[in-house]
Amino acid sequence: MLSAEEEFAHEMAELRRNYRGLLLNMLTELNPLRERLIHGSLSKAERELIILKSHQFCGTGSSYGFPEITQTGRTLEHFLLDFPDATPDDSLIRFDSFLMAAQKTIDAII
Amino acid sequence: MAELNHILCVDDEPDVLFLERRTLEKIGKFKVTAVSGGLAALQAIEEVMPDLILLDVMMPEIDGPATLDMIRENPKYDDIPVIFMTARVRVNEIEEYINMGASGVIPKPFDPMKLPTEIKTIWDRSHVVC
Repeated sequence: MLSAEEEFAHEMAELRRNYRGLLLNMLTELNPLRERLIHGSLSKAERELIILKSHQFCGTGSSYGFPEITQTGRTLEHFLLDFPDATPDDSLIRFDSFLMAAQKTIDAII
Repeated sequence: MAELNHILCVDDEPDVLFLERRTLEKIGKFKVTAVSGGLAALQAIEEVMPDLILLDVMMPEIDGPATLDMIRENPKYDDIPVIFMTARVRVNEIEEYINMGASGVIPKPFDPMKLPTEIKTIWDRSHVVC
């Protein structure tokens, strides 16, 4: 008979598959903003969307077993909050790291 | 010491709420009520009178601190400990949350296997008789 912990660990596999769907949706929302970020033409609402998404996924990545999502999300969120006048290049490095971590996680979840 | 049985979880992100509920029910063996915002939380408190509230800080419309203010307006709920959960944890913010009347702060992302123990620890601390 499985312990509660073992049962929960099995359940986590299913939860991770759901999380994959959330990551895909996030990429669909954020990928189109990349060009605008490069050209420094993000609107306030678009910038806030990036902050919100990085915050949300920072807060969940490690819970699902994906610390890279948390780390890159936290870095991006803090950077955008702390340096509102940063150059597009500086923001882009962190933005790309976050999206790459998301894509890597999506590819890793079967 | 009072026993912790029923926890009200409040978070606007469905996947977080689901994960909290599953770990607290399965691993912690607690009864859980889960709602997605501040107003729903106020209604749920009246209906179920939870032993403890796990409250997300950053929520649209009414955030965690505003929800806590509204909870504390009713003296009936004075004894219900509130634990904030937040992904934006900086030292001064933790202090602010405690000063607002929170019994503790649990950073996100949380470890699902450890969350029940973390909550129980804060619960025990808030019920120490001096």
